[in-house]
Amino acid sequence: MSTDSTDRIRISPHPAHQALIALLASAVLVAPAWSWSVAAVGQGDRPLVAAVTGALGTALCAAVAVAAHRAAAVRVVRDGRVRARAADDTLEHEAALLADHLLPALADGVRSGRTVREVLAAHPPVRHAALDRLLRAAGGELDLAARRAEHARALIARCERRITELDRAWLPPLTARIRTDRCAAAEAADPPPAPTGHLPLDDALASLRDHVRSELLAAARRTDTVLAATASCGARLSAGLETAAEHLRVLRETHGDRPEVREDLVEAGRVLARTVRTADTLVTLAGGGTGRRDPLTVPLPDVLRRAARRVGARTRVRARGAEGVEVLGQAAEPLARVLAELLDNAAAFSGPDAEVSVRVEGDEEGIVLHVEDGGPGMRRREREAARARVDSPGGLEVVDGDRTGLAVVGLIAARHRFGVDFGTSPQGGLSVGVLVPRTLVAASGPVPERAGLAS
Amino acid sequence: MSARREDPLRWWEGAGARPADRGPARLPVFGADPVPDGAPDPAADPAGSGPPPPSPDHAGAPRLYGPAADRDVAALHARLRALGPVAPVLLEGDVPAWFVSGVRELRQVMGRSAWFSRDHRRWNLRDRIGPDHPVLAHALWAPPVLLGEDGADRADAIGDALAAVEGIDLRDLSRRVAGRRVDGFAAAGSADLVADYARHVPARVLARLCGAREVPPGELLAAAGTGPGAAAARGRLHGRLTELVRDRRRLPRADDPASLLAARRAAPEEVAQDLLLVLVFGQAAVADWIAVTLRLALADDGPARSLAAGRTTVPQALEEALWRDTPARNAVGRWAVQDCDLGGRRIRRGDLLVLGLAAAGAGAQPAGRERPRVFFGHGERGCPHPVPRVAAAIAAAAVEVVLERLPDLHAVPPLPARRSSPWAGGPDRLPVAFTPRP
Repeated sequence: MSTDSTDRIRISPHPAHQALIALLASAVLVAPAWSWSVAAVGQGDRPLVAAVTGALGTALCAAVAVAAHRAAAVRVVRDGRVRARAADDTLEHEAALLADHLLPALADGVRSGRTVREVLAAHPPVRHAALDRLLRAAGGELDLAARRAEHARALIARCERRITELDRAWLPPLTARIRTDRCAAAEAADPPPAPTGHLPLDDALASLRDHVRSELLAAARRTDTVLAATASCGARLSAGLETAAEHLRVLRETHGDRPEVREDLVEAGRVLARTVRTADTLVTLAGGGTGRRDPLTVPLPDVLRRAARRVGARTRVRARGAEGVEVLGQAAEPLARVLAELLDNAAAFSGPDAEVSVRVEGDEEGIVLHVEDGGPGMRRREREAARARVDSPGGLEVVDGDRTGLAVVGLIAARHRFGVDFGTSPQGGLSVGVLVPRTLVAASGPVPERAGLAS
Repeated sequence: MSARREDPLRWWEGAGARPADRGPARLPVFGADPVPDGAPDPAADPAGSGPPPPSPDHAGAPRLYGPAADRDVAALHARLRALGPVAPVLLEGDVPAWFVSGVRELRQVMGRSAWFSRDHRRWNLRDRIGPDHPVLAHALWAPPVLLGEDGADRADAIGDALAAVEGIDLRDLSRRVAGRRVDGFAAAGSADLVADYARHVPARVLARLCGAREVPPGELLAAAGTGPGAAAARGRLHGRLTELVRDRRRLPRADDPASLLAARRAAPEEVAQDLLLVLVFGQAAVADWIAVTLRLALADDGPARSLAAGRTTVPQALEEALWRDTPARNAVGRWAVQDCDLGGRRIRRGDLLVLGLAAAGAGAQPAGRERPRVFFGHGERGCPHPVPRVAAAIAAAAVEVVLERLPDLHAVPPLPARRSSPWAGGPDRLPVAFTPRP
């Protein structure tokens, strides 16, 4: 049986039509024959012949019609069977095509970004209607899924972009701003979110941003509160100790010549002076100021005496070249504090009675005070570490346990633009040079001969 | 009891400004009211039978005015103190009053608002005193806003609102404002620390606290001043603040005193009134405090040397300045609600008591002894918590910053005398010099 398209679309005639056509055709043949036979016989036989031949003709017509009906019915059944077999073959073939080629191709195509229509255009069409519908439905779903996936990918990319923005473009400047000026950071509002489409994600990120921001600000505020409270307590401590020291000075003036109390008075003064320095250290590390003020200019020997007194090692300090030098009042107290820390360090590292010397030199940049000891000095790595601590000093929040001296030196030096450098003293110990810039020097005095001291 | 209330919205305009819609006040603002004088008001009218005859106690009493008083307030205070913790004194026009300079008596007077009222309508001499008597100007220094029934609540609301500001934020804000002011004149090498600094810092800080940062500083200072345009400036400022309160009701902000005050169930005009009170009185009081402390720090005597040597901290110097030279020197006042004995004197109902704060401070010298605090008032009608803390924080920041930033700051001699008025105020000017800084 042919499976070509004409055959497939030809409709087998209905058996009743066939039977009617056969009946009419046979009637057309039988009716003249009957007329003739009736005419041919004699007048007398005519009714009989007419009846008999009429009956015969009618029977013949009926038989022909029945035969035609049966034949047509058989053909209809046969055609149906043939067609069914052909349809089965198509279905099987196209289902296989669908399963083995089209659907995978569709999935691949959609996955690689082509549309369902493009993919299907590249393949022969599916003739089976239901399969075609199935294919198109599956394609539609695939297309939808692909579009959803695309959307989700875009969303994820956007999420990542926004999070990256937060991480790289928002957080670092915010933390920097909080560190430099917390109040301004607290007042500055974030820019409004980007205008390109609003997402639920944006709300979540905005909330996260607000939360992070307020937490950072709260943490910074706590730190600042702690520092301010520390500075304030330290200042009160320092003031109280200074007041006590003042009373002690009066006591020493009146009773210092009595041998039974002299030693105790001196020792108490020494302890007080040192403790004042500790309180001042606390204040400085907490970012506060001690509030001490000096006259417009202060002779350098006075500054040195003040420093030595705070160490409680006045007798061990020998100064050279300080006579005649005066610094501005605003530099006196910070310089005394830097020197006190350096003298304390020098006294601690040299022998119990060894002398610590301060050598003062004039310089075109200002005056340099070299604090020199006969101790073991610093090795290269120690010197580098000390230099680093002075060059990038930190407050209480980064200070290393008890080792506050260099942090204080660094903080004060940075605030008043003193230069600090570490070297080796003529005795082989440590030599720390403190440069007081010219803008802070009131009178340079007689500058000692450099050559004479360097030898 | 509306009869006892002046219009709280118009107190700065002085007498006679009460609009009719504030209820049937029979004895509202002193002296200039159209209501007949004889109208009895048992709550406000002390005697109801005209002024009492001058007390024999006041014959030859020291005068708290005139050239002698202006020349040497301290000597006058010493003389009054010598007369006892409560002494007879004569105010402008020889108006008799009691001068309270004993710390214990001051605390009694300030602590018992039921016995000693702030309401000047209780004055038994009110018929003798014209509406423009200078004493009344001093009486108005104590804001009548806080006199009414809800005065304590309103004072508490102000306190609560200011308490919302974190101490560290207030300190940072004050230091920043002070730093900017110093930047303004640091290059000049000289300045008047009163006009250029002490008045500006509290004005700016309080304006920021009240959410009025966009108000031009000049307008704030005009409103806080005593010049001829002050009342008009206060009126303008009040208008601005009313707008501000309306804004804050619509869009409240977190941790914002203005928003907290705006949340009170009161008319915006009334809340603005409270804000104005904070701005105007706060500015004047803190500015004077800063000025007297800087004067103390720049003088060449014991307290200044102690500060310079690090034996005194700035907060201690602020306290010391109050004791030595309190800005609110003598406060008018309190009026006795009934006859009583105070400090060995017989006080009659409706008598005026002058709070001799400066004299009390001077009497409590030397420092180091335990000294009760009287300068912020006392009792429920005192300066509401935490307003003294806020004032101290602003003043401390202002004093610290200028001393830190200009380490060679020194007063240009002669150091200005204390303000001549026996009533209030720090120095009018405090010229200083320093190395100019670019």
